[in-house]
Amino acid sequence: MSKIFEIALGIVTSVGGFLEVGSITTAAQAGAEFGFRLTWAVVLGGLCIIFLVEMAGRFAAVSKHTLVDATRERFGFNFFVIPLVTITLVNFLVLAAEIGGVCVALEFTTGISYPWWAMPVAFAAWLLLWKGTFGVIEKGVSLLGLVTVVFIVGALKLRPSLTELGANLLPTFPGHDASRYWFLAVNILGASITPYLFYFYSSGAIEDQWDESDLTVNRAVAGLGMGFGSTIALAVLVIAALIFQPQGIQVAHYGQLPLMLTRLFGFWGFILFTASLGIACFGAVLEISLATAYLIAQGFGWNWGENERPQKAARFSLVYTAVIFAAALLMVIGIDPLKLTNFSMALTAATLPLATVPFLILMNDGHYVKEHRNGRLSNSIVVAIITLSFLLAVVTIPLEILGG
Amino acid sequence: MIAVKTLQSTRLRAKHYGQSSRLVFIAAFTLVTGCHFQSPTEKIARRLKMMASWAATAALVGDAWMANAVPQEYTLRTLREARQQLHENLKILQSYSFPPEAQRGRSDSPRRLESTVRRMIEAVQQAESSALVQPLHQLAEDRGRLVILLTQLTGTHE
Repeated sequence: MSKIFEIALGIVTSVGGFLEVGSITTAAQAGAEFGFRLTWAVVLGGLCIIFLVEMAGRFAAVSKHTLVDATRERFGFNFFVIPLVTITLVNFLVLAAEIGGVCVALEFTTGISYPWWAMPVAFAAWLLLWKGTFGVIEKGVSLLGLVTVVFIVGALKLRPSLTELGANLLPTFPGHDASRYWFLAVNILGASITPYLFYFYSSGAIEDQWDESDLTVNRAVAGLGMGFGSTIALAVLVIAALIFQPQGIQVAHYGQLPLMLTRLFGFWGFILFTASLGIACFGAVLEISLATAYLIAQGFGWNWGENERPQKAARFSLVYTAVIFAAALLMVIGIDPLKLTNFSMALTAATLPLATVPFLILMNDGHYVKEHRNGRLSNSIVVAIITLSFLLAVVTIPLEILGG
Repeated sequence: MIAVKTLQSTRLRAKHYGQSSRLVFIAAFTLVTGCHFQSPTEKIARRLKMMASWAATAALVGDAWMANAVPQEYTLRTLREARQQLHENLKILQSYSFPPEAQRGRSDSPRRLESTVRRMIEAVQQAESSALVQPLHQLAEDRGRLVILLTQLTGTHE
């Protein structure tokens, strides 16, 4: 019975914690500009993150190592520095974008400009990390994040054509704006396959002291939780496709986004959109700050753990303190949160091989995962999706920058 | 001997993979860039499309405000952003030299959008929903013309 409860709680928290600024924005932009055409990107991204999260949990449960520990041990510190620096930089930009998402939600409700909210938001997140435990952060905020299910309700209310959705499960060449189309595909893939998610999950499995008896829970949480989470992202795309595209609205500013729910739910739509954006992004702020602190502390062999008192893991606590406030500064100086979101998601996609290739090697190393090594299917799927994301990212990022 | 052969075959395979990945990259680059470089008409159409998008946003937020679905402060911010974007896009549009087939892009509709949104801002500032009806009507008319213009320029308007 406790296992079923654990699975249910895990799924619920994964669903509630799935959506963040990148997935909301990129899905909305894709739906508004290309209708259902980028459905395949959401599905591919979701599929890949299901596999990666399952692997991260399996790896931690069987090897009792976090991904960072094992990467450093297996490949040596000199190699480890490359993904460490790259992922930290990408995490930092994504963190700033997530803080921007919370600030924009607060701007919608109070009318006070988003840069003013950056430091209070950073302080609130820091306080929760400083005083809270892993359970509070993982489950508490993710449970509140269930408000994002409103997007599924909205999409169902619009009765989208399932045939049309199904027809777009395979990539098609767009009739117009090809470079924009592929750039948005990269953005969606980057938003779905965020390395912080599986680094966070792997460290969480160690914090929760998982062992091989947790492999079923892990499989269910990764498959169903991430699967339902991706469905919410798909719902955002559907709503944008059916509300924005017929009007010719392209999402170029956060202020346009709440309108996709006000058409469906009136004033409640505005409230629910704002709550979804604020809570989802706040949850992501906590997760990314912790994931970055895990990465650096584990990489340098310092004491770490959100369940430890800050004095016992002083350098770990210092890292999340520093990154939160430094990332908030990007919002204080008024960087456009939407542009930062697009840029950081594309950069995430471009750097995916650095985070995933060592991980895949570890997942095939019997020394760590014994008989629980990856099968051919999971290896092939992840390699194919990561290669596609990387190729598209290195081609489309310069074009998008050149094209303004 | 076996070791040397294995090494040679590994190198050959690596060379083969290197060539394949370069080919894939070039193919992807050609695929994406092929449609990236825009003709003057496409550039004009792109600006008009952005203006149509902001005009539609202004209309949607205006409707939502009249239906009490969004707060006044949010409405004002969104309308101000729409006005600024319309202004900037119009400036860029006017800096383009229009080829003969795109002369219609110089029509009054794009120019009128900004002043219509300004009137909407004034109406929302005074909290007079009745004063919003006429600008919304005007906005719908100009948007309609813009969409027709876009369709004529590009053949489609998505």
